[in-house]
Amino acid sequence: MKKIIISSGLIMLCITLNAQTKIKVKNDKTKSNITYSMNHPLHQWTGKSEDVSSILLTDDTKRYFYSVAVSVKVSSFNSQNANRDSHMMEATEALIYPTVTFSSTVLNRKESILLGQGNLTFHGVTKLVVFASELKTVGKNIEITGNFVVKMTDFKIEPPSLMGLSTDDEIKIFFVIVY
Amino acid sequence: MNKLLFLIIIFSLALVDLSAQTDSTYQDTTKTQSVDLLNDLNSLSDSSDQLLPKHMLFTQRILWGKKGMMRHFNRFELTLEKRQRELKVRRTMLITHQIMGFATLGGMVGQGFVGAHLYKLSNSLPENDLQRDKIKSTHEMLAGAVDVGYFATAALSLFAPPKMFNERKGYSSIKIHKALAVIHLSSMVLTNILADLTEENNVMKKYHRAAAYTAFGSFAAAMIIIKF
Repeated sequence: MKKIIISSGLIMLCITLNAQTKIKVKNDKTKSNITYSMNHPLHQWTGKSEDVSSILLTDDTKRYFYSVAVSVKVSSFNSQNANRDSHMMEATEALIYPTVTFSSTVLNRKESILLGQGNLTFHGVTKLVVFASELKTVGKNIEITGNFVVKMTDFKIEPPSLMGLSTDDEIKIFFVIVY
Repeated sequence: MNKLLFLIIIFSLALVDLSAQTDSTYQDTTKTQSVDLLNDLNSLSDSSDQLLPKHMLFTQRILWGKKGMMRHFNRFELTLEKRQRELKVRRTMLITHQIMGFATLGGMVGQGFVGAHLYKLSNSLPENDLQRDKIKSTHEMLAGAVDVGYFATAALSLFAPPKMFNERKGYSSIKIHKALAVIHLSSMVLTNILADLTEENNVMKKYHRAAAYTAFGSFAAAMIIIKF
C-alpha cells in the first residue's frame, strides 16, 4: 500500500510538472522599443518606435515561452525628421497597412538564448522570419533583445528615394522587449 | 498488489504521454496561440492615424487643409485611401522640386559668371559698349530663366500636400533646409528689386551682386544640408 501511495505521488508530480499553467504577459511599453536602420547613398539613419505592443504566452515562472505576438504602428517610428517619416508612411502605404505584426510559430529557449521563427506581416504581406535573441532577467522582468534583416521588396515595398537615388533594399530591425 | 501498482504506473505514463505533445502538434498549437495573441493585441490597439498634421504652411492649408480648396474635389476628399494617394502626389511634387532645384542651381552658376563679366565691363571704355549690351542681354535672359526655375521650385514645395507629421523636436537637416529657404527666398526677391534699381543708380550694383551671391550661397547650402 505504501508503495502504491509513493508511486502515485511521484507520477502525479510528473503530471503536474508537465502541465504548467500558461499565462499571458503584456510587455512593459516604457522599456520596450523597436528601431529600424536604413542606408541611402548620401546618408544612414535610424527610426525608433517606443509604442510597441506585445503579449507573451509563458508559464507563471516565466521560464517557458510558448508563443509571442508583437504589433507596432508604422506611424510610431520617429527618425527625428518629420519629412522622412512621412516619406516612409507613403512608401509603406501605412494609412492602408498601419501596423507591422509578428506572431511566432516556433520558440526555443536555450538558457539565455531565445531562437524563434514566425510570421512577419508588413505592408499586408506575410513572410517567415527567423531570429536569435538574447534573454536577460532584470529584477522580475525579462528583457529580450535581438535583431533581424528584412528586404523591402520581399514585402512589395519600393525602396524610397531621395535626390534620384534609392535607399538600400535591406532594413535592419533591432528590438528590445521587456515583459 | 504488484499488478495494481503496475496498472497505475502504465495508466499514469499514458497520461504523461498525452500531456506531452509531439513536436508537430506543439508547433500547430503554438501557431494558433500566436494568432490568438495577435488578435488580443489588435483588439487592444487603436489603429487610427491623424490624416493631417496640426501645423502646416498657410500655402498648404489653403489648398490641403481640412476645408482647403482641393477638398471640394472628389479625388482629394479626406479619407484614408485618398490621403495615401495624396502622399504620392506630394512625393511626385517633391521629386520635381529636387530636379528643378538642381537645374536652377546650374542656372545660378552660369548667371554668376555672366554677372561677374558684366560687372567688369560696366566700368570699361565706351568702345566695349556693344559687348556690354550683349552680355547684359544674356544676363537678363538668364535672370528670367533662373527666376522661373527658382519660383517654380519654391511653389512645388510650398503648395505640395502636407506631410503626415508635425516637425520633430531637436535638430534635423530639413529644419536647416527650411531656415535657409527663408534666406534665399528673401535674397532672390531683393536681387530682383535691386536689379531694377541698378538701371537708375550705379551704386546699387554692388548690393545687387551681394544679394545674388547670398541667394546662391544659401540655395546651394540648402541642397547640401539634405545629405546630412
